[in-house]
Amino acid sequence: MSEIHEDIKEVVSSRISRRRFVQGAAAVTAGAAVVGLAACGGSESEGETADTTPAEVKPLRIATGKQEHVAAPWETSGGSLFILSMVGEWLTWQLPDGSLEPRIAESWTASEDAKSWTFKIRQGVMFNDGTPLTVDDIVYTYTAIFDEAIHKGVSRSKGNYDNILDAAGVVKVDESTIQFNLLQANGNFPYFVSSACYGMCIIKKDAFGGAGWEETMIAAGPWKMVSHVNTESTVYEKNPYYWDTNFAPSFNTVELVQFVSAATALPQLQTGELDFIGAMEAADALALDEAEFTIATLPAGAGFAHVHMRTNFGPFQDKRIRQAAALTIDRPGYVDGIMMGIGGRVGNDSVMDPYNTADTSVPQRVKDIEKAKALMAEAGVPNGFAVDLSSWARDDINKYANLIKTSFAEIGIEVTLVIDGSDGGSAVYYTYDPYPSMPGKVNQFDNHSWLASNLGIVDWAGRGVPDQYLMREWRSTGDWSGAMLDSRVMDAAIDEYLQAITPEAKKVASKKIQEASLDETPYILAYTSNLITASRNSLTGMLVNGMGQFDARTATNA
Amino acid sequence: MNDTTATTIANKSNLERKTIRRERVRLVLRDKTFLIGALILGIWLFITVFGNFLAPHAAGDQDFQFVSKSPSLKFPFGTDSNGRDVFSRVILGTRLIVVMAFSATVLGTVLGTSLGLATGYFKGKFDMIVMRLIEAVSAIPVLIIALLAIAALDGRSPTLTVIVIGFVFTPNIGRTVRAAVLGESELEYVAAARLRTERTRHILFREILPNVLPPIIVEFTVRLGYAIFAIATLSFLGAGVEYGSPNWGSQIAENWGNIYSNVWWPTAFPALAIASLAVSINLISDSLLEIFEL
Repeated sequence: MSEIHEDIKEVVSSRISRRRFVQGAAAVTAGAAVVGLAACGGSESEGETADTTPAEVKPLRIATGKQEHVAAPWETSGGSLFILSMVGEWLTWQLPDGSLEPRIAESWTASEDAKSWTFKIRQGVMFNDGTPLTVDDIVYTYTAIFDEAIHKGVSRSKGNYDNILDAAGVVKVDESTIQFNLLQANGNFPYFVSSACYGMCIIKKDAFGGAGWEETMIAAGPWKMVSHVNTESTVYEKNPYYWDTNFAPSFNTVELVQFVSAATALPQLQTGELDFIGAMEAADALALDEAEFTIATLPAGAGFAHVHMRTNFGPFQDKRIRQAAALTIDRPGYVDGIMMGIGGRVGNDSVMDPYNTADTSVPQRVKDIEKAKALMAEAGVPNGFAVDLSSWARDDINKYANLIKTSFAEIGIEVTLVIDGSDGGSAVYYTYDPYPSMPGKVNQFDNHSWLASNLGIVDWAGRGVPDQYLMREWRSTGDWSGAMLDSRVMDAAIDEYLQAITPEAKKVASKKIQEASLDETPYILAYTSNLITASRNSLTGMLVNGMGQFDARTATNA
Repeated sequence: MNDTTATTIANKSNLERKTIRRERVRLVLRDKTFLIGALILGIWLFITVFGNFLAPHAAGDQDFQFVSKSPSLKFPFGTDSNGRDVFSRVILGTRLIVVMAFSATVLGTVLGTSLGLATGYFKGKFDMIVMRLIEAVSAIPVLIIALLAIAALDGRSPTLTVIVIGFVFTPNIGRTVRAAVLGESELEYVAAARLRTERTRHILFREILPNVLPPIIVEFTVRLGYAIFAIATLSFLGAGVEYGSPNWGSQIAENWGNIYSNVWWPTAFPALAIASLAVSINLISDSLLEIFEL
């Protein structure tokens, strides 16, 4: 494992500072450059004729998953976040260890009650078309998502801010300052203006951020789009107007190539046609030769696959049935066996578990078939029932779906897998017909889409704090809630957590959420995932965060 | 021709038919190609019937301690990336593909034969219209029609797949049968039957059908081979069967990506199963084609 990835591990395990991490990464990159220069010098000293013709720099080629939906800020729903991560720039950026790095914002402060946040805006930032980025552009970015007349009905990022922020709360203080006055206190608000809200990269004032934006991709990130073929590939070149003068990767161009399965990208990595695979299965990673390839694992918060059981229609309405279903799963067996010990950690059916604020005294749920059968009998379905599990085709989700099918069968729940592989990914499963997922607005039957299915698996990006999952998936007002839980206890605990400012207060609230999660069991989180990446050893400085967003600003081919 | 002559012709014709049939059966049973094909097919049919007793594990059983393990005594075909026994899954997948392929082919043959008998016997405008329609349908590749139909009907049930493939095969079988019927309907024994004022149904199914059986049998075996490939391909593409089922095509779809990690066995064994079953049917088909001199 390379030093830089050792550093990532160190950051995660010992919580060393971001500064130390960045220093380490820079040192490794610089070291690689020195080694490269020394090698060049060596060949000259041996009397060989130096080739003065500048060699064409090979592009950096990265394998990604298949995109889902248009790669435009107001359209993206996660499946195209990796495309946006190259061209976009946010006020803050989520680092691999889950902490935040200032980008367009230089610094930020909160009021004492955490209801008002003020961000100092970096001066001299420009869009990739050469025009300056101003506070007005930021205000537009954060208000347009609330204005239906502007976004024309498609604003998938709006749900990030329900009960947190509205258009009136976005205030330009002066040419270098913006203030967000929140609807309720939030101690983690800088994450709401970070790349973790992947659709909220800053766009030009009056630009349309919906479908069509992807044809130009005018934003302020380090890379500029050269060509983009939907669901296939995207080519970028360096953004000559990028604000960071230290931006000096050894690559002039980067290409993101989309694969249905990371396993099928392996041959191209092995033959040198690819340099980096952004996310892969443990078994595939372990098959690579350590002498040639670097494997890195990175905790992805509570990201990746969440199994939802619909609480307001269908066969899982009784929470005893949901609890019984969750009791059928051999979690350690799956993590150690299928995930080969490096793919993740045992989960406890809550999004709080991977974070520092989690209360570890909450008992871990373990497989107990007798108890599960007793619960099924109590709920009046001792012989089980038949149900469809809807999801979409991806290596880890396919395996998880098989686990659910096999496990549920032990208590008589006969699961039929309905896996959508349309358009190479999930074109059918992630439909927005029932959006937002709120009572009265959704299809009250199972149509096999993510927001209207009895049982399903939804993919979430790995965030540095759990606020987004809580707001959008677990709270009764959530717009991306597959289970559609409507629990006053859960809502109160979530509000308490969101408004808590100190780590101690967050831990108290977290415990309440964890306990309510086990009691209601709207979701099964049998494991929390690690993001596994692979690169050629010659590639250094290539960073990816838990969201799966790429930071190739320091990428260097040694 | 009077009634007596007509009866004499019919009796003579029946006698000739029986003699030819006996001779063909004798030739078939002495043909090595047929016997090898029948032996392999017989093994698969045995597994189809008794697979549940032969498989050491259930299709979905997972053993997390044995994930992607290569073939061994404990797991003769190894395990897949879900920790499932590939040997058991190949055995248990046999019934799915064999039953589906036979059912689809039988359906196609029954429908195609009926269509071919009717068009070949009645001829005229009816024949012309039906044949143009058949030609139009035949111009579209079988898999495309099947995929479209399954997608349009949102079908994941094997029954739907069987029906779709059966219907898709109907035109081709119908055309073959029609060609044979056209020749037969001009022969004396058909004229004799007409003279005896036999009903049309009797002439079609009792007189003509037995005489066009050889091409129907050969067409059946050829289509059976196609059906196996069609079902395997559709399930590989995820159409018509449940994801994760032990269907051979589904197994290949689930595991082929792991070949690049040197985990070849979950793909290779179902692929070999498809190949051996298809080859066995092709051997039988080739043999019959030669013996029936078609």
